[in-house]
Amino acid sequence: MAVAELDAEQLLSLEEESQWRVVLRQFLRHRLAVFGLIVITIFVLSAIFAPLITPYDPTRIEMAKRNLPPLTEGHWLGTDELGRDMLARLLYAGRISLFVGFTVTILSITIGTIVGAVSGYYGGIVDSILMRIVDFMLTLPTLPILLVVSAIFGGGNVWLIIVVLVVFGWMGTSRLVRGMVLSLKEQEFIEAERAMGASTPRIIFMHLLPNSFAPIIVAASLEVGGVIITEAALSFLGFGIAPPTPTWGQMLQNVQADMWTAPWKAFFPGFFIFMTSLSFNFIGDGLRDALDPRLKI
Amino acid sequence: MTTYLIRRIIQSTLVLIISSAAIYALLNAVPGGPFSGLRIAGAGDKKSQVTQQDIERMEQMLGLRDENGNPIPLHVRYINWLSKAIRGDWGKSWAVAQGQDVSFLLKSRLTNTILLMTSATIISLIVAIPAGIYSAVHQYSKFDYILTTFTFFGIAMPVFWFGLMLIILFAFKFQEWGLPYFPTGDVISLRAPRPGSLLYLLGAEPGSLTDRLVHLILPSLVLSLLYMAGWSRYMRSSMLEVLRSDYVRTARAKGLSERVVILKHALRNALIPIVTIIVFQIPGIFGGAVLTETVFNWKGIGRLYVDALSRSDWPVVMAYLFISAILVVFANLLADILYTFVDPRIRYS
Repeated sequence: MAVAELDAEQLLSLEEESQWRVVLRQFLRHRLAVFGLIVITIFVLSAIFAPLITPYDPTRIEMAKRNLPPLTEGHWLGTDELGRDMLARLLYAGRISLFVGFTVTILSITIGTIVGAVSGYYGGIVDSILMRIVDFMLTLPTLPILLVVSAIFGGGNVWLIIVVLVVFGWMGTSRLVRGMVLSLKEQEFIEAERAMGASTPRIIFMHLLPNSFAPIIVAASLEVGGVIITEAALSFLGFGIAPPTPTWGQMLQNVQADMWTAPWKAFFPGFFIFMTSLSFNFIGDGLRDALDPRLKI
Repeated sequence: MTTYLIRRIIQSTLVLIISSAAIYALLNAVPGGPFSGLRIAGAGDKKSQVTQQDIERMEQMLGLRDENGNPIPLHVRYINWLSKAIRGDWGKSWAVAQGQDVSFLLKSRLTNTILLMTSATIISLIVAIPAGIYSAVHQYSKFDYILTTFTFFGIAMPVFWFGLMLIILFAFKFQEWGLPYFPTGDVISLRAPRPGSLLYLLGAEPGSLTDRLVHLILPSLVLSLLYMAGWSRYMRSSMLEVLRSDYVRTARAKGLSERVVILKHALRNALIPIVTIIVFQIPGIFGGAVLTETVFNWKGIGRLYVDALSRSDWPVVMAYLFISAILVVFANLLADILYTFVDPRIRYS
C-alpha cells in the first residue's frame, strides 16, 4: 500500500509541476546559461557591495602610486595613471554600466512592447504609420547617429545617455511584439474574450502580452549585453558618460597613450564588458531553450 | 514593380529631406561650433583681441550671415546647404582641416576606408559562407558547436577592446618576446622600420605595398572576425530553413543522393541572403568602421567622423551623415530590386 501511495503522490506531483518549474528545470540544464547567471550575479553583487570588497576610493588620486602593475602594494588589479585603484574603479564603474544596461533595456522593451501591441492590435493607419517610423529608424546607421546625438546634447550625463539609447533602441522589440500580437489576435480565445465584451486594454494586457512574454524576455536578456557594449563604445570615443563617474567603456578611453607600459588598464575594463555581455547572451540562449526553442531571435 | 519603386523613391527622398533638416537644425542649435570659445572671450574681456565685428566677419565667411552682416534664418541656410549638397558641394571644414573643401577631405580618406572595408568584407564572406552552410548541414556536430560558441564570442566582444588586445599581443608582447612584431596602427609607416619588427624583416619601405598590407592585417582581422560571427550565423539559419522545406524533402523522397540534394537543391536557395549581406555592406564600405579606425588610427572616413564630432566640425558631420543616409536608402532599394531577380517568389505591388 505504501508503495502504491508513494507512486500516486509522485504522479500527482509531476502533474502539478507548474509551467515555471519546468522552465526553471530546462534553464538549469543549460550549462552556459547557468554560468552566465552566476557571472552576472557576482558582478551585480560586487557592484552593489563594492565598499565592502575594496577599501579604496575609486576617485582618490595618489600621484606616488601611478600605473602600479596588478598585485603590488595591496592593489589587486594595479592602479591607473592617476594612482587610482583599478579594482575599486572597475566595481564602481560596474554600478553605472550595469545600471545603464538594465535601465535602458527595461525602458526600451516597455516602449517597444506598447508600440508593437498597439500597432499589431489596431492595424490599419496606426500600424502603417508606426511601422514606417520603425522601418526608418532601423535603417539609420546606429553608431554615427548615437554619436552625433550625444555630441549635440553632450555633457556626459548618465540619464541623457540612457534617454539617447532608449530612443534608438525600442524598434526591435516593437516589431517582435507586433508579430506576436498579429498572430495571437486571430486565435479563438481572443475572439471569445471579445465576444464576451472584454475591453481593449483587458485583451491587450491580460491576454496578448502575457502570451508574448517568452520572446520579450529572451529579447530583453539579449539586449542588455548589446546596450552595455554600445554605452561602452560611446564612452570609449568620448561621447558617453563623462569623468569622474567611471564606466567600463570610459576607463578604456585614454589607455592607448601608455598601453605599452600599463597593458592591464586596457585589459580589465574590456574583459568586464565582454564577460557581462557574453553572460547575458548565454542567459538569453538558455531562456529561449527553456521557454520556447522554436523562437527565432 | 515600377510603381512600387517610384513610390519607394519618393518616400525615401522625403525621409532624407526631413531627417537631414532635423539634424541640420539640431547641429545649428547647439552651443558650440568653432567660435563659441572666441565669443566667450570677447564678451568677458573689453580689451580682448576678438571683437564682435571679428566674429560677425567669420560668421559671414562661414555662411551664417549675408553680405550686409545680417544673420541668415535657419531654414534659408538649410535650403542653401541642401541645394549645394546635392551638387556635391559640402562647404568647407571648420576644424579638422580648416578651410579645406569637405568633399576633398572625404575623397582623401575614402581610399583607406574602401581598402579596409572591402578586404574585411571579402575575407569574412569567404570564411562565413562555407562555415555557415557546413554547420547547418552538420547540425549538432562538433563543428556546429564550435561555430556557435565563436558566434557568441563575436557578438559579445566589444570591437574596440578586441583591437586593443590585438595591439598589446602582436605589437607589444611580440616585441617583448623578440618575435617579429606588428605596427600598432596607422595606414603606412612614417619612418624606416626598426630592427626586429615584421616590417624590417620583410624589408618594407615606408609607403610601399608590403608596408600598406602589413598595416592592414590587424584592423581587417578585427573587422573580419566581427562580420564572420554574424554572417556565418545568418548563413547557418538560412540553410537550416531551406533544409527543412518541402522541396528538399521531395528531392530526398525522389531518391536523390544527399550530395545532389544539398548542392543542387538546397544550396542555391540558401545563398540568396548573401545578396542582403553584400548590399547592406555598401554603406559601411564607404562609411568606414568608426571604432576600428579609431583604435588603429586608420585615417579613414570613420575616423574622420569621430574627429569632426569631437571638434564640432559640423559641415563634415553633416556631409558624413547625409551621404550615409543616401547610401542606406540606396542599399535598401537595391536589395529590393535584386531580390526580385534572385528569388522569383518575391513580387512587389
